[in-house]
Amino acid sequence: MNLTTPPPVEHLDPGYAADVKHDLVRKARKPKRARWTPFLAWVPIVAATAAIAISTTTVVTLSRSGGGGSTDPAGPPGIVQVPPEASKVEETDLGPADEAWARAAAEKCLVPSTDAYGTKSHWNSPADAKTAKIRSARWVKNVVHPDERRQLLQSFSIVDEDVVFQCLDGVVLWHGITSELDDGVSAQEPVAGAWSWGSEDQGPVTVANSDYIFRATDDVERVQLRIRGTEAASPWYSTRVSGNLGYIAGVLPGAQADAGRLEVDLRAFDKAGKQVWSKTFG
Amino acid sequence: MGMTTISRQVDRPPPDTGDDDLWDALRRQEPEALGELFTRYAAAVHAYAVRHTGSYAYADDAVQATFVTAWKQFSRTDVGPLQHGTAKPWLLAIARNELRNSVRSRRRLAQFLLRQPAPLDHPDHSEAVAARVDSEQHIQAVRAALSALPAHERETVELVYWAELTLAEAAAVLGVAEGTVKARLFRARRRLPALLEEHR
Repeated sequence: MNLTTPPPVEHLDPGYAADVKHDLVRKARKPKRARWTPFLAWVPIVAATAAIAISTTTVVTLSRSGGGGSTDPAGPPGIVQVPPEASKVEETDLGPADEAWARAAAEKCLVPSTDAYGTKSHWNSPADAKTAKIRSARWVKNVVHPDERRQLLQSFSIVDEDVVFQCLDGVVLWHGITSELDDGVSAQEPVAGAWSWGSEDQGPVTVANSDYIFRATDDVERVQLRIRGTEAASPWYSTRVSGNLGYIAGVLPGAQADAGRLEVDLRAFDKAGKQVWSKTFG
Repeated sequence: MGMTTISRQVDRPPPDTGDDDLWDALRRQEPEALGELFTRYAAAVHAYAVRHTGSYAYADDAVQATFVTAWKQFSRTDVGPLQHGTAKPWLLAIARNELRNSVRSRRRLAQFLLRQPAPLDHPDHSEAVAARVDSEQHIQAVRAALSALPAHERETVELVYWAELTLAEAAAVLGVAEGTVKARLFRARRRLPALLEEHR
């Protein structure tokens, strides 16, 4: 087995490829406001829509007429535009955690796990936690599941291997070499990271959530995340940057994490409280 | 493990055709340009996704999602001039994000499927399906060997050795400096002999 040689891969099925290409071009020709939905998902969506359309029409109509904040109530659903200063700020940082908690969580974080593809998460062992250097450890609110307990957000270094781990409640968010911490960040782009979103049924309500795992320059003290949907926007969820690393999550009840129906705003502030960065994803 | 003979995919654009004209057409939001982008790079995105996930089913979805997102980016904003003379690293960066975003929904789907009764139809045992299954097993074995590397080194190996990107292109996909890509490859290669020994 030679790991530097690409494992052979079967051809993309020509029939499937032709269908996808045709579908892509056809949709691209449509007016820009058309909403994108993978065509394989259309059948269940159409079926589900047909089944629930009658029962929900009244509810939807009532909620729209209530002034839900959509910028274009007469046209197709659009994502609400809310000025940044019009959203409240919700602090998620709950203060520092002591070292005993941090070291126990580091040990849990280093237990090899398997991701959704069946790949092991990393190669260090829990024993490395004993000698790890704790870079930061703070309690944060669990905004996605507010009924559950607070979460421990931490970063630590495996000294011998010069590897930094960032973990949330014992789950690896990011890991890399110490010297990579400032890769991709600069005075012009002081924050760099990866975002994701999802939706979850919580009782009768679908709740959209989003998170951002990031690195930041020394100057950045706070990073905030806000979700905007077709009906409403969340507050700014705010976190403190600790050891050049951070993580922030937010939720928007009554929203679905789909392209064209949700956007995620991010912004960063320096120690003087001046906004130094912003970005929108989705 | 039984391996079916598998042909290598051509995942580069025609040699005498650069992507500059195509990129300009995409910036003008010409729908046919999206079709041409798909023709040139669907195989590369597909191969990357198969090797990244070890699953053809996930890869099929990822290919579609990647090109939908690519078009949306051109529709929403000016993405700027083409970097590195090829659209491939830009597309793989989108694919990488699509795959990451799909992990959570896939977990929920897996949980849902576990609760469902077994399907009435028997699985399809056609040759094509068998070849895919063999291929998936092989890729999963390779990924198992590679899994002992830290994720950032594994990803660098995937992009440079498997997706055949240059160091600069891989750096652009990963959002790191070119020197970092080199350092990661150096570290990965230093560990690889030991990894191969373990999985022999």
